[in-house]
Amino acid sequence: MAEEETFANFLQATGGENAKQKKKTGGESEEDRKSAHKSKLQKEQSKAELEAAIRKRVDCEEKAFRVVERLLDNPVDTDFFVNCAQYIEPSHYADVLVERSIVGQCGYPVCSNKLPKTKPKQQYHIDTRHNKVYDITERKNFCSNWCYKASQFYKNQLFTSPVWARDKEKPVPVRLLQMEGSSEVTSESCSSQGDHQGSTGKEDSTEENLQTTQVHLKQECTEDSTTLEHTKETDDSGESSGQGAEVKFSKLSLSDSVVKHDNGVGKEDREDASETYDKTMADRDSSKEDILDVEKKVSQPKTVTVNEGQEEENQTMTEGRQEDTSGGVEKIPSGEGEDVVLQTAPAAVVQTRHDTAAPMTQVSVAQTVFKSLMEWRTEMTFKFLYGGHVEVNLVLPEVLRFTTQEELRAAAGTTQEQDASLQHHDNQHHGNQHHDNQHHGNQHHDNQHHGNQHQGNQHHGNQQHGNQQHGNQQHGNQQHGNQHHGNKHHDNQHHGNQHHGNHIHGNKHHGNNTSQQMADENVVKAEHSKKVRFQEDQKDFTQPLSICIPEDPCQNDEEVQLGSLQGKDPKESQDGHVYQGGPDLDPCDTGPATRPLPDLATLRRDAALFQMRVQEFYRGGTQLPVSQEEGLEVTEKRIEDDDEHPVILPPVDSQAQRALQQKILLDRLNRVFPSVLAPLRLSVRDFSTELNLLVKTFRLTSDNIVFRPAELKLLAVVLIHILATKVQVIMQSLYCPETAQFLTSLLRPWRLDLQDLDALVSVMRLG
Amino acid sequence: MDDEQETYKLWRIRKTIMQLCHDRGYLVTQDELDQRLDQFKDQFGDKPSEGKPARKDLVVLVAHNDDPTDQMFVFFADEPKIGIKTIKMYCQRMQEENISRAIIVVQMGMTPSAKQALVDMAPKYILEQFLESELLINITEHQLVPEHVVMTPEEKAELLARYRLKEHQLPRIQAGDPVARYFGLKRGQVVKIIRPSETAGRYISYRLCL
Repeated sequence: MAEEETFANFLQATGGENAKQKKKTGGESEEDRKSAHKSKLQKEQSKAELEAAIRKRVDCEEKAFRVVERLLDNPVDTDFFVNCAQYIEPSHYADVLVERSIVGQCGYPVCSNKLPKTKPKQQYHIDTRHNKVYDITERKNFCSNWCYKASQFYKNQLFTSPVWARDKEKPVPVRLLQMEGSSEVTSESCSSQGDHQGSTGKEDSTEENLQTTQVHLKQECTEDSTTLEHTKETDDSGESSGQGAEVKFSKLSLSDSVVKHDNGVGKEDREDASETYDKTMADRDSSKEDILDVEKKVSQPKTVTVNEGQEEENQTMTEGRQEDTSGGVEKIPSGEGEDVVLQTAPAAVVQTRHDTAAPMTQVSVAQTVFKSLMEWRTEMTFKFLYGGHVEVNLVLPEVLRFTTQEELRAAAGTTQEQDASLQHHDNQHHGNQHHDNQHHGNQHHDNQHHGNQHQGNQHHGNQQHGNQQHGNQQHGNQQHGNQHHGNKHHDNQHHGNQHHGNHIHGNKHHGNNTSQQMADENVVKAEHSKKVRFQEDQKDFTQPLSICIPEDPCQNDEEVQLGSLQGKDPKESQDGHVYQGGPDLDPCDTGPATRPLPDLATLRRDAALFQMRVQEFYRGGTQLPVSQEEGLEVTEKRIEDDDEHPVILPPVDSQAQRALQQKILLDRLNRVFPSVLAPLRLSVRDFSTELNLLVKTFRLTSDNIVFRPAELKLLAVVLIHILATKVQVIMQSLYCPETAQFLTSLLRPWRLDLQDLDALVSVMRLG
Repeated sequence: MDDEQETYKLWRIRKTIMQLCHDRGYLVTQDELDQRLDQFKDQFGDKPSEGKPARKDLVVLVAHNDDPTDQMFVFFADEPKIGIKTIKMYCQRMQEENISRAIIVVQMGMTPSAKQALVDMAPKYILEQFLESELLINITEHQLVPEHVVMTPEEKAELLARYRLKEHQLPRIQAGDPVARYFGLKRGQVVKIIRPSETAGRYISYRLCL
């Protein structure tokens, strides 16, 4: 072997030309061998073989050297680079890296970037974050981490066996590290860097650089397209995997379009919405007759769009209807409260609903869930799910309202007759304005009397002006309404007629001094101001009815305000110590004394509104119609523009009830979630916060949080779907094909399919 | 490294190179052999960091005493480590000037493939490489290095005839031996080594380069 080595060295030293000469001499030696001795012949033969072997080695080495030389010049073709692998050893490749970096090119042969002009001088890089020291002598030869990585990837695939011994080995194709995913970024940065340097440093190989960058770009393009295709494929698969997803998309777009419309064209919108709902319903199993029935009703929705200007007339109209249908008005405050949409249900529809009530009793699991969801959902729910900026149009299609009506009725445990009786009861207790407000009057007398006493005590020698002021204050009717009503009453006294006269006279009996007039004013003010009146009435029955204060989860501001008034005002008027209002109320006496008396229609309207409020109060769990509130406020504004914000106090009882109900519901849901979530590869932790927030927005009552286990399970699935809009993780897991399978199998026992599920989920969707 | 040190280093290297050329039989003026540091600075500058002098400015071209056409280049490489590209560049220069011998003085070293390239050029162009650190001192002036004299082919033939020797019967010296490299010995050349001897005054031996 030693001889071989030396011979090889010799060959190397003499180089290629010498090798050729040697070949010739080898041929001569073969001729010599024929004439030579036999033993010598054998020796010669072996020598020739040896020589051939050595020459082959030298050739291989030479080839490797040529390959290395070739790899130094840009551009290096990728295919060539891959083929090179079988001709070179790792040492050769390392040589290539160094050689390239010496010339100022990135060490990775396929990369055509230049190295940065300023090379780091240090040998080690200290990573202070990980407390590690890296030897960067090799890394210095590359333009980017990716190139270094790719180079190492290539180098690790090279054979370590000597190049001349590779005849018998099967060449294994070498793979190159492909630029994918995050590495694309680096490649882009690489190319940009390369471009930059190409523009700054004008080298001999500018053309080459350009070409290579073009190649680079092409590569990136193809990669991009492939990724695009990939995503397309995944999209396709996603669509094909779940029909539900497709449906969802179309629905979302529909609902979006619906939401975009103004309330001014609310009627059309509603029709749109009902149409979309029609579609979804049509998709369902036609075997469900109640749903078919319901569809019929959808075809005849009656909607009334009310604008601000027409409010008064419409209010009276709707109030009238309300009396007819006894709570048939379902009014939901719109987002801005300016445009109010009222929807009234004709009595005929209600009648048909009663017919279908029988099949509704043996409701399937889905229907129960559906009903509950319909009841639960509020404006807040939509705000939570789709963001606060969305103008929510919560008017339900007839179908939906039907279920809620039924449920409400069931919850109240009453029939229409009972409603009527309730109404009667209300009238008796609270004094309807249709009857004479004697009752009110008495109440106010008390208040007034009280206030007068205080006046007398505190301001003996006061002028009438001052007394009036204090009378207002002490009476505790801090509301702005008092002022203008007071003015009105001033007129009343002058006229001395109208049905208000009763009270005035009654008051006069109690009145003693100069402030009597003012006190009277207060009384009448109270009568006319809806809030005050309401408060008075509340005071009347707060004590006996305190038990059945409704757990009203959806109280809006107005309601809260009323609630606070209920709690507060009687106390104020009795104590007389709480001064609200103050000097702000002064304008009442400077105000115009020529205001016309409120006519009978207005009073009647107020009375109807109040009655409705009381009804709703008794029934519990309804939203107070904002429209009427605001309508009243508007009328008030017309009289007196000086508007004050009343003190808002939270109604403690209803909140506590709500919290309790939320807790119960969440507990029950949490018991069911594990069985549903495990196949979806989710955990409750993923969305517990969102779930809590969502449930908080629900309008829960003691009736609609009771479920059978199967219903709870379905409800859990539906809620997960609803929350998918908020929680990305759910969305991801829902689009898995396994999820669709699981859901189908889950729904089968209840004879439901994915479309039914989707319909349930759509309850919480906009539009 | 500061400029003073660098300049000093370059001066030493160049001085050694001049001596080397002289010892090999190339024509070098006495002024160049005796050049002092201040003279070197005057000639080339004293700020190597600013390219005064750059290493490529130090390039030396010398002609042989006996045959003026036999010239030799001495290249000083600017790159710390030189690759094939640099070698190619030098070769091109040699080709243009029709010079077959060159010495490359490198700072850090050569890549293996560059060395391979040197070997490839061998028959036509003879390129030798020295590290700068090897040339900081002239090894032949060292006390323990005996005097080496390269024999001409005629002298070699006479020697072999005189002692009736065959070539392979001579003692050997490696081509990579520092002194052999200093003299640029090629395979087959014989060097006469003259050592001082306590007994005989001086002892002469001959070595054949492998």
